[in-house]
Amino acid sequence: MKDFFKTTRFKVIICIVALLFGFMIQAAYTGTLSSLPSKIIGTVTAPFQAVATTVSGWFGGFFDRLTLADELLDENQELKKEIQELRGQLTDLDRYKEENANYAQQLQIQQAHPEYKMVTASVIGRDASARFYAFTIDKGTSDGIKNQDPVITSDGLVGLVMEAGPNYSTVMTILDPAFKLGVYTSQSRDTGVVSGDTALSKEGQTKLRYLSRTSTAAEGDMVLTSGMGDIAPKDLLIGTIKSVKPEKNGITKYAVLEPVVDVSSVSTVMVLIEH
Amino acid sequence: MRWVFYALLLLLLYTMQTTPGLFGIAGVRPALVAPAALAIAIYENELAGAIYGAVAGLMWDLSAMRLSGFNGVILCVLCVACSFFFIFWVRKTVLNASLVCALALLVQCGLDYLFNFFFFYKDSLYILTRQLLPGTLYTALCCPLILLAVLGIRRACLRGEGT
Repeated sequence: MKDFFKTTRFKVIICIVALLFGFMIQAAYTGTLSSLPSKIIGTVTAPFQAVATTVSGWFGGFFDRLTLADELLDENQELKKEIQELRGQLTDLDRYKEENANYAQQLQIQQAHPEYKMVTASVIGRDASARFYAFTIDKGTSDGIKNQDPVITSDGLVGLVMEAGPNYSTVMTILDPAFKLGVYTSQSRDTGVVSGDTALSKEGQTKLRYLSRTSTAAEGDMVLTSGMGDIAPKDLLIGTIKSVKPEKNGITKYAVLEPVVDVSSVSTVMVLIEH
Repeated sequence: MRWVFYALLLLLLYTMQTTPGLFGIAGVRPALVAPAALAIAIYENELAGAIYGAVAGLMWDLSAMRLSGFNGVILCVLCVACSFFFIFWVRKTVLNASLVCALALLVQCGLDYLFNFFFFYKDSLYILTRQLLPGTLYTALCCPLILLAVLGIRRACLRGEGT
């Protein structure tokens, strides 16, 4: 084995490891997560992910059906008869319905905010080890998307674009502690910052920080973006307050937020490329 | 030719790994590219393992939103280590390979938790117990299948090459 350290193979392996460290340093220096090879990999794999997601959607949660087998079996028996009669008309209906729903969502937002320029995107990748439900969408810089663009649905804010490749983007959700955005509450008009919390994220909740000690924010208040910092436009709905508690420092308060959008299961989003 | 098939297998497993809703059990899903790279390292040589480990790691970094190269370095080193382990000390059987893969995945899980969560987030232990460890366990359970797939590709290609 000692002779191995004198071989060409060992030198090649050392070069590979050094190259990988170079990518890490480059990614960290540029303040992004990805390097050029990652962007190349993302560009190549994005079309395959899109196809796989579509195919997977057809089969619709096979493993979930196994765990809910009893309930679904009964329901399935009743529906089978009905489905047989309708099958002939359903060949393209699901696809058209989803497209129509996407366009309807986009139109609804566009009518309310004609100054917005949006790109509709589908979620094509969710990794098991992605932090705080981050996901990948099938649109990127070639569609006008750039880092820090807000990602929304017709219900409200989902997150921000973290990385944008040519034909894909990764989205950081509002549950991520690295997510920080200025907001205000609907009733009391108090300002604060929404940022994820590791303990709350397991419940699908996020945190509104830096409420003043005299804040009158209460359960049920809606939380909307304030437009500060020009990251996201004003008045995008983020969630509703579940509870308000004092911080440990005693100087400020924080609120537990229930997001309006279930970021762990969203399948279609819109990216605001101009607002 | 088998190198091309290994690359296609990596691409297929990466696509399966990141497709929403696929292979999910109670919200836990496996990371399939890691055992594939480890399997190539075990059944081929350390250089092939290093290269495929680096590529698999870069793919995994992209989908898991880790710093590019983080899992690349870890998988590259683990693949080389596993390859040497089987060259010098352990017999190449599917059981041994599965156990070594599981151990390597645990090491990767620990390093991932340490450098991406422990130092940066308080109350991060639940991420280890509810997300990372269950995912690692699920991935370890998938190892035998992936090992057999890699072994099958190797044997089929070598038979085709007449060696």
